[in-house]
Amino acid sequence: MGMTGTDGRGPRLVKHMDCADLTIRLTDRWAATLTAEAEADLEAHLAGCQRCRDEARALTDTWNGLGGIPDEEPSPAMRLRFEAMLDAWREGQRDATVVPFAPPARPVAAGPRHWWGLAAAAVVLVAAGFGAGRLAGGQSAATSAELAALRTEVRGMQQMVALSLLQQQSATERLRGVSWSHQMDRPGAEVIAALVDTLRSDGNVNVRLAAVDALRQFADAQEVRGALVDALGRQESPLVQIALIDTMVELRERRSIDALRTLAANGKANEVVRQRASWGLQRIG
Amino acid sequence: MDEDTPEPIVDAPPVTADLEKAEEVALLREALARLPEDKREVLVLSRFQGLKYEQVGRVLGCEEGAVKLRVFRAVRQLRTIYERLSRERRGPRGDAAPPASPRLAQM
Repeated sequence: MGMTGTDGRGPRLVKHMDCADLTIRLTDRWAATLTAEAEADLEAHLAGCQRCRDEARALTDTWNGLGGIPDEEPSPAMRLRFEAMLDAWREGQRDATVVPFAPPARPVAAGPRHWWGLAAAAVVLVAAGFGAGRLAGGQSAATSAELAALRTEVRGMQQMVALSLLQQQSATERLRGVSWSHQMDRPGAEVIAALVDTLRSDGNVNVRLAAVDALRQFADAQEVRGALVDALGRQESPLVQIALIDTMVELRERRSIDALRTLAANGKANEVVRQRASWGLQRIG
Repeated sequence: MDEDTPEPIVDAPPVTADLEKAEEVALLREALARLPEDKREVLVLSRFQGLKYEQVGRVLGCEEGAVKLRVFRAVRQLRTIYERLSRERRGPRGDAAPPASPRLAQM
């Protein structure tokens, strides 16, 4: 190694590349971001360095060969979600200034991190999952097990993202956290607990409202129903109260009858809320 | 007689080429499956998902230059695995039929 460009075509404005530069030049060429000048320099070097020439040819063959691998589509729902996540990440990165992010292997405490970077880590795992699925063709049991493990890992990562977002100071970030939980297939107990806590104590009405919507998706769980009923007796925002009443009606949740009666008879409550509570009582009762 | 002079099989070359191409793609897929997770990840992002190196860097939390190095190393290891698989498939006398690397190229 160590051979420098031997083009013999006179002086150049740029420093001639040497073998150590092959990494950068070649990857830039693959990404079609190599400048004309750098391209000429690369060519000149390859012309004079057989070792780099052979390696460049072999690796470029491999890189190009990857383009020939059929793109096996994941399920439409997964694909949609993946693309939405990717779009969100791309959107989020525009205004980001710092993204010191390493894929975390431990629970993440709230802090000044770029949360879409964290979200993107889940994207990476999903993407890697697609890769594995694409490669496995669903044939070997070992690979299926690997894929299952990967999915579990993705789920864990999604939960961590949701939990982390829900702890943020910014209401926008917490809203994202609720949205993130919303799109999970099977949120764990921790995420449910965090959503319930958000519904109970978040200072922002929009976040609480979003939490009601998210929890409604998981109303099969008794503790979620209990939390929603409990919230009906505690919430003071008319918007949240109405969302909860509608949820109780939708779930035909008889445990909410007492809270609905109290609301309907509460002279201090918003008029629309009282009417809604009466309507709810008729529907459930 | 005509029996002694079989018809030239005009379709043979393209069919063979297609088969070889399919075999190479299958081999490359297998090689990719055997690549360590972190290396496969960087290729999935940069090659299959079409992210720019800078974007991949933001996802993985590293500089663009580091991404290029990781991509390069991933492709290099992928190449090594591919060539090993290729030799295995072609048996102990694989020297008679070298790895079909040039055909993978679309340069």
